[in-house]
Amino acid sequence: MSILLFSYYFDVNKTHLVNCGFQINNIKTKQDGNKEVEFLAYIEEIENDNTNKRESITGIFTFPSGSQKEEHDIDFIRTRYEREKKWIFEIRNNKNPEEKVIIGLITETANKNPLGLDIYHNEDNYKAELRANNLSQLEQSYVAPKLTQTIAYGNFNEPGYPYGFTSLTAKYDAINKLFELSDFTQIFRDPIPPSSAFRIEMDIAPLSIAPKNGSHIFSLSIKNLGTVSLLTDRIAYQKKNDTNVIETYFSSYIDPSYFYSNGFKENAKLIISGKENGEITIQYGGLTIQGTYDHTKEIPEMSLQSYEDQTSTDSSFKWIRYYLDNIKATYTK
Amino acid sequence: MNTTLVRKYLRQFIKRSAKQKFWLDETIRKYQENENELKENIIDLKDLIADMESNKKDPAQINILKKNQQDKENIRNDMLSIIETLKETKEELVNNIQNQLSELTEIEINTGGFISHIVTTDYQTKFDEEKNIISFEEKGHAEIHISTYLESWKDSSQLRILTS
Repeated sequence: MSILLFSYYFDVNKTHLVNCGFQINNIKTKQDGNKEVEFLAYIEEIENDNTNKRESITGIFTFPSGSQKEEHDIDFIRTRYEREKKWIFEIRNNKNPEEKVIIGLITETANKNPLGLDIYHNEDNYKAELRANNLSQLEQSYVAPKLTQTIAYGNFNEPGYPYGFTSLTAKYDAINKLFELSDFTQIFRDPIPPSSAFRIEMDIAPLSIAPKNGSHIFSLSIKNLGTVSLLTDRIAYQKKNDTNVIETYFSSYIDPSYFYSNGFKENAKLIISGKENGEITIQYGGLTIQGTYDHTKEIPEMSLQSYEDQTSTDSSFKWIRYYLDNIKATYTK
Repeated sequence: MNTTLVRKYLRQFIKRSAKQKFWLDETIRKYQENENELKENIIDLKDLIADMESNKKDPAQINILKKNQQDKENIRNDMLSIIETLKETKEELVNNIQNQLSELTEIEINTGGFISHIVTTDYQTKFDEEKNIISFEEKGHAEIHISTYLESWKDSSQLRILTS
């Protein structure tokens, strides 16, 4: 249900599209008479009914009371910036230009001029006027905004693997809506480009803190970047092609309930965030590690590896298993 | 030649062609709907004939149905031809629009830095060309062609929601 859709099409049959959608979720009148418009905006690329990419954002615009008629003006600016392969969708409160949201796509396949634009309005509750429909050149001084692109996303609300996700050992937990597994590989929709800030996060909780040999519980290898590991008494980060391992220790003994007890704890949130200059921060289990990574290489995927559990026997081999949920990876460029 | 006149005529030409293209799309859509329905009818008829044959029903009746099937297939082939021709016409139209619009866009951008879109709408939607306002009553659809030498550009509209 979209109040307004700007749909750019690249072929005569309209099978390849860049859609910029705007959906009003609610209009509230406040005590002071101001009107608040809650909305969702999205931009997506579609090829043959497949959504290749999609970014979305919610926002609230406030319109002052006291207008003669009930008029709420919103600017929709769709920009194509060829040099950076960007399609940018900016939505601004015309009555208060500081209120705005910007989303966009970085895409090779749609980095060309469309044949045209369809505008669809399919909302019965509000009449709408679209004014000043112009295509213009960009100012000389124009600088394209940085865009955050989602390259992996899995909330596991339904069974089935999200895009790029595979596992040999996963079992779907339909009640808690998560996966129980010992391994996975997540290929990113696009690799993280060199010198781009990025963020990888997931909820991961080990079901056992008792490996058969050594002290490793899990290792997450991020290709071209390095490995993040959980051990029985610490977390560790080893940069790729570096023998040095950075470690931080837990202040007391940990057990599975440290990460999961009737739901994921804060401690279960693994966050790996990189800056464009090669600095990296890893947060997990209430601990933090600062390090560096090679920002000249692109990062295409990551995979999780398990270790043999204490209860494992020759006749019945057992990997340590984990609960996994809420995978998300983004980069900003 | 007088630029103002050139702009005016290009705009008129594109507006007319865009309107033709819009309604051609509708026509193709309707033909395709009908062709799909006919295709389903033919399949049902084939099933019925096969059923009657295996149950050894009256051959005279079966022959009537077979003739019916042949007639329907002939109509369907005609429809497919028409649809092909309409699609070819549409592609030609779009090419012409793209060429003319590319010229107009260049003139407009060189003159004022922007071009006001030429908008085609469906029956429920209105376009005031002079004021450059598209008015949506309920559900509506507007189509705008784009053709420019620019590889980077800004396409903007201002939405006014009328809630009263």
